[in-house]
Amino acid sequence: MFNSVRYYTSQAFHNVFRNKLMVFISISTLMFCLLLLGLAIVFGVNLRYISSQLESQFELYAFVKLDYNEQQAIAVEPKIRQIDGIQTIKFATKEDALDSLKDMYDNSDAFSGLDEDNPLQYSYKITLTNIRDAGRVEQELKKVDGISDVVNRTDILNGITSFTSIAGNVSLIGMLVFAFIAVFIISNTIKLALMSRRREIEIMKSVGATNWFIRSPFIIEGVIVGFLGAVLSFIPTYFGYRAVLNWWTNFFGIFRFVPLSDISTGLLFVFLASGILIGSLGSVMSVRKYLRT
Amino acid sequence: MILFQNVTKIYDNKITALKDATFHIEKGEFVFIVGPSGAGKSTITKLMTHEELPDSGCIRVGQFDLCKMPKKQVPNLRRSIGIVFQDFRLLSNKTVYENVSFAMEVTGTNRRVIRRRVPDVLSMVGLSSKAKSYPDQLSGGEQQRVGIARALANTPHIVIADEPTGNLDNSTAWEIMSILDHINKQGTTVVMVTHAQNIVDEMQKRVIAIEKGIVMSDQQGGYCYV
Repeated sequence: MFNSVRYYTSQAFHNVFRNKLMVFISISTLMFCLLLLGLAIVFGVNLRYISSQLESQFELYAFVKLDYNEQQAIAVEPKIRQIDGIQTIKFATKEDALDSLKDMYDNSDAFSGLDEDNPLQYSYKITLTNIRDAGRVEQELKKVDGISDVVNRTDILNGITSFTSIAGNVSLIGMLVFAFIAVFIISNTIKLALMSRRREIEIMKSVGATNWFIRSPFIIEGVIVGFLGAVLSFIPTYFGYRAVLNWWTNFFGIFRFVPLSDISTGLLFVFLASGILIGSLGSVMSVRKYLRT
Repeated sequence: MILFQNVTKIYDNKITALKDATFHIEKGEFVFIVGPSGAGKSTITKLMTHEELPDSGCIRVGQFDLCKMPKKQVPNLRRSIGIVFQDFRLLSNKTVYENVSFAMEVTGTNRRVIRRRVPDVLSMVGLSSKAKSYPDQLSGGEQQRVGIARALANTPHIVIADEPTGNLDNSTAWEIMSILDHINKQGTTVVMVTHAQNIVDEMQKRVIAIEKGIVMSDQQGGYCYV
């Protein structure tokens, strides 16, 4: 048993070295496939992660009519409460609104004259139990007597989710195309290895080597190609994602991406599994075809 | 040991390679199969090694019923048969020793057994001193002796030699014949397919003559078929 495994592996490596160019082409194609798979995974995972963040942050702003004084504005709240699907309501005075405006612009002097004659509106910050109700709640808020305007930020969320899901789907389709090409090229690589060992295979058959004994080195060759392809595509994916994370946190920060440590092990596992699957699929196809008897 | 009972083999191109052939080879016999090219001699060897299956009739080789046995038994059947080819079929990138040990490695033989067995079979064919040579450093006769050593490596009960002297000159051919005869005297059944009338006449063994797929004669003695 041990002898056989050693034999299979040494023969497989021998084939890999003898067939460098084809092995190189196989690994490169496989890398394209896995890099796209990586993109699809990264987009998919982040899509969920980001939308869950945005959902928890999501708020509707309902502005009270400009001519209402504070008492009148507060009196609107019970009417808002009657709407289904609202989780919390927070009242903000004109002064609160001005303060947050000043905060946003680093206490710029531009707003200094506004303290006495505040042109801003009283408003309600409303969170929902379910973000899917945003449209309906928005409509109902608009009908509430005393509310002049409602700001709904779901369009941003929709924009981000549709972009990430399109990007994810495109990379997934690309990945499937390259997976198909990779299987084809690997099966040709193995075919060449089989051809160059035709004589040995003939002798092996005639002296009574089992089919598995004959096939195994070639299947292992496919697995080696798959393994190398997986490792070589994991490295750029890992560092690429790390770079994107650094760049993002330095410049933006509306929402966070999935941390590298949460994604890397899973990604490596998926890469190895798909690489080895594609590699062995390619070799099994050739071996089945050329070692039928 | 080997039984062909009413065996017919028709290839896909409708050529009848063997028609209702019946013969029985006992354990320890030395049998020549003779006949003109295309007579069906090679078909017989292919049927014995399960490379081809008969269209009708049944074949037994040793303990194996070739028509009923499951496919996974084929390697076991082939391990019980040693095949010697006309064109030697040696691996040019392996030494004499490695060519012989290869046949044992690929059947999963233990390395210790291989280390003991290979020198034995090499000395049996008189090539102990050439163990480290490569096939292209050997004469044709020596190459065929490596082929015989390889066929014997897995201690088969039967040796099938398919025109083993076809590529050799007369005196070298006789060297090979004396090795095959020696193997047979030690109890191994030898089936040799050949054209070489002088060898068949000289050896005075059982001769099965085939023509157009039909067994024309089966008797002790010389090359009765011209």
